[in-house]
This record gives sequence, C-alpha cells and structure tokens, in this order.
Amino acid sequence: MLRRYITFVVRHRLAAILAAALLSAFLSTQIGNLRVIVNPDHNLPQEHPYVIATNLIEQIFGSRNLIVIGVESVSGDVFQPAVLEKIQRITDGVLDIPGVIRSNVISLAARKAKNIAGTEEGMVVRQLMETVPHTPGEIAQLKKAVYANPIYVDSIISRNGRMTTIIADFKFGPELQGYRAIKERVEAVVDRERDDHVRIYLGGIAVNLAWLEIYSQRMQFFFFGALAIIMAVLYLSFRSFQGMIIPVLTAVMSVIWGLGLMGFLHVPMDTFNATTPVLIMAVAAGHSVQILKRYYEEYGRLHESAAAVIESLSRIGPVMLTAGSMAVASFLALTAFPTLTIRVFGVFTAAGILSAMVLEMTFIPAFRSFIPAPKRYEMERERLRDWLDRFTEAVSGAILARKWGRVFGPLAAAALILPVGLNLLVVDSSLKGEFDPNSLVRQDDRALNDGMGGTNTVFLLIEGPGPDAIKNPAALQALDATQRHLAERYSLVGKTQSLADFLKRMNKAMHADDPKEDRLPDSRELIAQYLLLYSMSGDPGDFDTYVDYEYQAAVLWAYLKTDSTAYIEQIITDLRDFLPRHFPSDYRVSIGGGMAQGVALNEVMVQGKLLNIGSIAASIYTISSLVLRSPLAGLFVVIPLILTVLTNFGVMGLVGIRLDIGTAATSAMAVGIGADYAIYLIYRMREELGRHRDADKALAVTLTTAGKAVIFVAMSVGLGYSILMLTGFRLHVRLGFLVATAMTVSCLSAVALLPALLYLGRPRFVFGAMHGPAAATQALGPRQEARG
Amino acid sequence: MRRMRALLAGMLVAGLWASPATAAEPSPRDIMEKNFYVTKIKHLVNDSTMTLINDKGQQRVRKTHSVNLLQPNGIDSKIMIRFLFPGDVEGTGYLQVQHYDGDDDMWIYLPALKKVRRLVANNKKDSFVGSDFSYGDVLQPVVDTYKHAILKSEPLDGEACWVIESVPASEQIKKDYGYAKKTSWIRKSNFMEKKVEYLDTGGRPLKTMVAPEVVEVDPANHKWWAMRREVKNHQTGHSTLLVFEGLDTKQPVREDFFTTRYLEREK
Repeated sequence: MLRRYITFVVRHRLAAILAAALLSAFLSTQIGNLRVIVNPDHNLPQEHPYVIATNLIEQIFGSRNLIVIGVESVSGDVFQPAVLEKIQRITDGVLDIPGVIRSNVISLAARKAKNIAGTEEGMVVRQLMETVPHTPGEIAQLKKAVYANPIYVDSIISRNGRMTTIIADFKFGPELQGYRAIKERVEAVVDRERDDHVRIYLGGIAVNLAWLEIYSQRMQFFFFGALAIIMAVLYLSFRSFQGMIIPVLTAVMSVIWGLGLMGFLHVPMDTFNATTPVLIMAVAAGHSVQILKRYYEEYGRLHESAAAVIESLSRIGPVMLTAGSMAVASFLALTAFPTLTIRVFGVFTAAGILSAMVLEMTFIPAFRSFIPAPKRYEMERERLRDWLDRFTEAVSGAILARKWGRVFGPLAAAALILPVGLNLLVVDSSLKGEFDPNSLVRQDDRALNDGMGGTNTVFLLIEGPGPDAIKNPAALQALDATQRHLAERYSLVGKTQSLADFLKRMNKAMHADDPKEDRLPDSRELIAQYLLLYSMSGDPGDFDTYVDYEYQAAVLWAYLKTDSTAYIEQIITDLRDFLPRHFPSDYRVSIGGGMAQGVALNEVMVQGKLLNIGSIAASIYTISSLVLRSPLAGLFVVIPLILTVLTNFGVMGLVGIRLDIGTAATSAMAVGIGADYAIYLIYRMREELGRHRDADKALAVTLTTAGKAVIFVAMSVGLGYSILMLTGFRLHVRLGFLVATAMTVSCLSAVALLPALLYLGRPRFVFGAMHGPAAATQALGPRQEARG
Repeated sequence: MRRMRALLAGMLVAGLWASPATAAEPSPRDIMEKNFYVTKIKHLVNDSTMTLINDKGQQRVRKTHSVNLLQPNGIDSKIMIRFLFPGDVEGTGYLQVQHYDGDDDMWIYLPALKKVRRLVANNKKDSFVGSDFSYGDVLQPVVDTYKHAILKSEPLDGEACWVIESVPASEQIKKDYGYAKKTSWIRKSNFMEKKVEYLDTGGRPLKTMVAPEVVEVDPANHKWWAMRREVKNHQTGHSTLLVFEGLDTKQPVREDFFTTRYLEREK
C-alpha cells in the first residue's frame, strides 16, 4: 500500500513538487501575520489564586506596565535646582507619551505627589513641587515637605536623598504597542537628561519585558546561524551538495509551513516560541537525513534512482510515520499544561513535525527522483569511513565482545553523580534571573534596589463585605499592623504602602503635626470626614492605587529588595497565619504581585512538569508497545528517555541551572525527539535480524546504518540548538546548552545502551524476526512483495 | 480696587441690559459676558446630588443642601454647603466666601472632630470636592480673563447656538486655570451654555461639560439655572453628574448665616 503510494508520487513527481512549492508560497505569505509579543499572562497559570488576585488588582488599581526611572545625583542629594529641573522635565516628557496613564504618574514633580501638611488651623493638601524651587529657603522647604510624608520615603525619594524616581504606568493602544515601544519612548525622554551630574536607571516590569522582547526578536538571526550549522553537519554527513540540499529544503519548508500555519491561525509568537523554529528545523532535517541515508544504501544496491526512492521510503516510511506520530502526540500532550505559552509551543511544534512528515511522504520522494541520481564520486564519498564509523564499530565491538564495563560503566558513573545533581536542583522562576548579571537591565535593577525600597512587588488585596468597608477602623488597623509586621520582621522588605499611611498623616496634620497623633483615627465617621476633607483639595484619583472607588477593596503594596522566591514563600507562609488573626473575619485577603506570581509558577511547574513528563512517557510507552506489539517493547523505548530526563535534571542541578518556565520544556522536547532514536534502532535491528538471521551481524549493521543516522540527527538538533548559547540571553543560553546535552545523552543511550540491552535481553519483539519469516514480513510490510 | 472693579462690572451689566436689542450680531465678548451674569442669582437655596463615576463605572454619591447669597459686586457669592449623604459624612459643613480677584475664604466643619478648620485656598485648576469640576469652573473668571471669538453659529440638539472659542489672555491664566482653550456652545435664546469643551495646557482634549436642561428661575431678572450638568474627563475616564432639586430663589437669605458659628450647627 505504502509502496504503491510512493510509486504514485514518484510518477507524478513534478505535480508533487509544484503542489509543495505552491503551498509553501501561500504559507510564507501568512508569516507576515506573525508578531513576536511578550504577554506575561501567557506564562502564568491563570487559575492559581495568586495569579487571580494579581489580575484583579491590575484591573482595579492599574500598574500593569509599570516603568521606574531612577535619577541618582552624582554629588550631593537630588535637592538642587539642576537635578530637580531634570525631574520636572522627565515627568513632563513622560506625561506627553501617548498611552501614559496620566493620573498614575508619580514623582517629586507629579501632580499626584501631594504634601499633606498640618497647620494651626488645619490641614493643607498641596502638590509637593509645582515649580522647581531655586532659593536655598525654598529648597529646604521642599525637602522638609517630602520627608514629612513617610509614604514617599523609599518610594520616590531615597532615605539619603541621593536618588529619586519617576514611576509611570501605560496602557497599550494604536500609538503604543509592545513593551519595547514603552521603553524606547521613555528612553527618548530620559536620554536628553543624562550628563555628568546624574546617573539614570530604568527598571520595572515594562523594562524587563521590553528586554525580553528584544532578545526574542534577535532569534531570527540565530535561526540562520542554526541553519548554517545544520548545513555544515549535513555536508559532513553526505559530503555532497545533493545530500545537503534535500534535508535543508525539507527543514526550511517545515518551518515555513509551521510558521505560516501560526500566522494563518493568528497565534502570536512569544519569547518561548521564538526558539521553536530551530527545533522544527532540526527535527525535520533529522528525519530527512534518515530517509536519505537509506536512499544512498538502496541506490548503492539498485543503481536506479527512482527505484531506490521507492525502496528506501517503503522500508523506512512506517518507521518515520511511527516516530513522527509519537513526537506529534507527545508535543500535543503539552496542551495539558496550565500555561498558554507551553500549550502554544506544543501545538506549534506538533504542526511543524506534522508538516515535516507530510513533506517526507510527498516532497522528498518527488524531489529526490526529480534531481539527477548521485554521481559515482558522491556515492563513494558518502560511504567513506569516518570517525563515526569507527565509533559505531567500537560500540558494536564492545557489545559483541561483551565488554559490559565499557558500555554500562558510564551509566554506573551517572547513577552515582546524578542523585547529587537532582538534589541540588532548584525550582525558581525569576524573570530577572533570565538576564545576564552584567546586563544593563540587571545593573539598573541592582542600583534601584540599593537606592529605593525595592523593585520586586508583593501585594495583599483586602476585600471587605460591602462598599465603604475599608473605612472600618478595624480593617485599617489590620492593614497598619501588617505593614509594621512586614517592616520589622523582614529586612529585605524595603517599603510598604497603603491607605493607612495617608490617614495617619491626615490625623497628624489635623492635630497641628503633633507626633503623638501619627496614628489612625478610631471612628469610621472621622475617617470618612478626613477623606472628604482631603478631596476638597486633592484630586479624585489620588488614592486610586490604594483603594477602589467604593472603598470596598484596598491594596497593601510591599516592595522587596530580593527576587528570591524562597524568601517570598517564607513571607507568604507567615502571612497566612498572621492575616486571619488581624483582619475581621468577613474580610478576604489574597496575595498577588510579581513575586507571588513567581511562587505560583513554581508550584505549578513542579507539579505540572512531573505530570507532563509522565504523560509524554506514558503516551510513548503505549504507542510503541502497540506498534511493536509487545508490552516489553514500550519499556525498551522508554528506558533511554528516562535516562535522558534524569540526566537533564541532574546536570541542571550540578551546573546550577534552575528549573523554570524555559528549562521546563527542555526535557519534554528531549523525550519527544529522543523517542525517535529508539524506534529507528529497534526497527532496523529487527529488519537486519530478519535478513541475516545472525544477532552479531545484525547488531553491527544496525549500528553503522541506523545508529550512524541517529548520531547525525542528534548532531544537527544539538549543534543547531547550541548556537543559542551565543545569544547572551540566559533563557536561550540554557535552552541551547540543555538541548545539546539532552541530544548527546539520548543519542548515546540509543546507540549504545539500547543495543546492549537488546543484545543481552533478546526480547521476542525484536529477536522474533530472526526465527520466523512470518513475523518479519508482517512487521516490515511489503518487502517480500518487492522482491517477488 | 476690588470695589472699583465690581462697580465697573456692575455698570457694564446694567449697560448691557439697558441697551435695546439690535439686529446686528452681538460681539463674542458680549455673548460671554451675558453668559457670565445669567446665572448670578441673588438668593439661591437648593438640594443637589453629585454622582462621581470612575472609569470602571464605580460610583460615589453625595447629597448636599446649599444656600447661596450673591454679593453686592454681582460676581462673588457666599456659599454654605451641608452634607446630607452618605451617613458617615452627614452634618459636615463647608463655607466658602468667594473673591473673584483673590483667594477665596473657606472653612470646613467636621462633626466627628467637632471642630471648624480653615482650608487654605486652592488653585483654580484643582478639583472641586473630588468632582470633575475645578474651582475655576465653579466660580467662573470674569469675561476678560479669556479672549473670545465666534467660530460659527450652529444648532445643537435643535437649539440655535453660537460656538465661541475662548483662549486665556495670558500664559499665567492658562497655567492657573489649566486650560489652553475652551469652546462653548451658547444658547442664542437665553445665553446659557449648552456644551463646553476644554483642552488641557498641552492642547489635548481634557473634558466636556454639557448642560442639557435649563430653567428660568427668575424671569424678572432674566436669570437661568442648569438643573443638570454632566462633565466627563477624557483623560481619566472619570465623570461627574450634578443634579439640582428644590430650587428656591425667593426665600431671603441673611448675611449673618454665613459664619463659622452657623457652620458648627450641623444642620
């Protein structure tokens, strides 16, 4: 059936090539619809309580695309006209950026920064700095006013007065698209002010995500780098232009199809998926190598190109389809993951591999039979013995000579070292951790953390039973107590803010700044009347970031100087005990913020990751057992994969790579690709046993043919990915390193461990082929027919 | 000085009303001047409901009772406002003595504190009690603060209007009031504004105010009142709806009512 189909394709090769070319042309026009975007939501488990709370807070209180501009005075404090004028100009410049939420801009010069002051007659609410002061007296007055409002200390002014910040929030729209646009617009404003007197730093979630966007967009260059490496590996493998061009065409077309499909379906590319084309390219090239290697073998035997195409594909076709379906199934299994990015990754990769499978069954046979047959010298060069032959011969030699020490020795060594690595494996999801410690973004972040309260946020959302619930003195007392608890107990909590800070300040101001009155009012009426009084001179949006409009929900903001998720987990555990004891029972307190989302991600990751690898392994076990008709067969396929995954985690632990969103999918990828190798090996071994009826001979031939091809595939995937190590972006560097490692391990375990196990165990699903022709015929399909 | 100006203003008003209507189109300055004085009512007692709505549709409702007395200069008023709702601010009182050419005097009485506190004068561009009206919108500046020009005449919702563009007479005025330009649709029938569009100092659309319903509360003196005003801030998405009820222009209001002693009476 397959043979008849391939004969048909070869006969209509021109039509097949044309169809593939037309489809590629159409899909390549769809790539224009693709956009690389960074949506942090895609990475987060949306059902996790911390993520729900964060989304709710962002919806009510804003601060989604926050940018923090730190201005540090080189000599003296920032209270000098030249520096204050810069603050004024930066604030005005930021206010002019389209998309800025004008009422959420805060700085010494912002309208929102109000001085709540006490006088003999009452309370005065005034903008801190309406115009830049110039006389020493005015400057001293401003300084006094700023420090008289504790809410601003460590948030917009540092304790020592050397650093001040401008914090702004943005809304995306037609004039402002993407984090990169925010960063560039802000830089345009800020760069004018850089000189010898000040150092300016940029931080905040919008800046971090802008860098993520920049690094992702650089991937297109590295894609061509990976392509060049794969071409080099292919040339090494076939030593001819023909041998190189077919896998490259297949690879590039698979990527175009996959990307075109993404564009056609309007699925956006994101940071994680920016590396996916490299994966598809590597896998497609690998498959193509398997087919082509087999073609050269058959051509050497048959000396007729079209016949060799038909022969090789009908032999290897079922293996390719089996291995391909398994890879597709295992990548589709990623759709069970709770984060959208990984689901998209799964679908995209599956689409790419499926495209490669279609091309293998249409374009490759058509094109291979269309172009001239390999010349004699090309054939000879392809068959030249090289180091790989020597390696595979050494492996088969060791197995046949039963030198088990050489084969299992490295395994035993791994068994000793890996548990150490597994123990050291840390689960941590920090966006900042993805950047190099010496990168600008990390340097700026460190400076901002040193000067101010901290750039890492955790917040508590307090929801009362109804409107005006936040005016309840008991709720405000609890807010205040929580703030004090955090500040006293955790040295790395640099700043906390809530509505309670403002009410305390108002109470003090209404009592002529008597320090004894720096406390919360104890009647609900007084609280309400203070707030009304404030509204007589303040702006309607002044408290928008602290309390919702109906006074039903409030936020407590905590800023941390560290982004260690371990530290925040400790705080969260403590708060879970503290909060219910302090807030009235009908108030609901939930935890959110950037840091808490990191914790959420960790929780999901560990759970999800194990579940995920388990599900992939289970589907591979099931499919291979079914295809090979033996429950034992699945085990033989899965063993090298388990080894690969364990090595992957072990190596991560040993070299200090954290398990995070980026590295999480590496093992899934390794498993998905690694399953191919075992399948190729087992099929070929079975075929050779049926032909030679001699285990030793079959093993040797299997290793020099399929084994060698597996090494080439692993090399093209591993080396293609290793180019990512040059990106300078840790997320991609680690991905490159881990995929290269995983390919080495899975290839070695398929080429050495698996044959050794087969040779030792002699399972029926493989060795049955040696005894009865029936089994071989049945499993290998139409070979008998071809000979007849 | 203040008195001189008031006198001058008074004479101007008198002059305007005295002159017979001419067939010629009035000048933009005349139109805006009539618009300025058409709401200057001698005695005014009313209840009002102010609904503040933020960009997410959440609301704050405030009900007040207010008493106004126009000063002899025909421009400034003395205003006593008493909060009736919500319950936690009930009894809070606010007294304002306006001075169009200087800082207003303001006091507040907080019943929970049982104390009258003096409020330091606000900037004209600041929000009036958390609403989208500024203090400068509540007490409109005299006509020559802005330079006026007639853009065109056009009907708006079936009412014939002049469309008048007003720009601040100086940079300082622009800064103080916070507007680079105001465009007003003035009803030809009674000189009451129907719609005003405001641009911020950077020339960006800031807010739009509409006064769809007007009533002649004092026909003898040709005085009108907008029973409903809505203003929407385009930059914050916040809006304010002000609705008046129980308007009384006949009830005499005594001068000595506007003292801090009355402010403390909680009603």
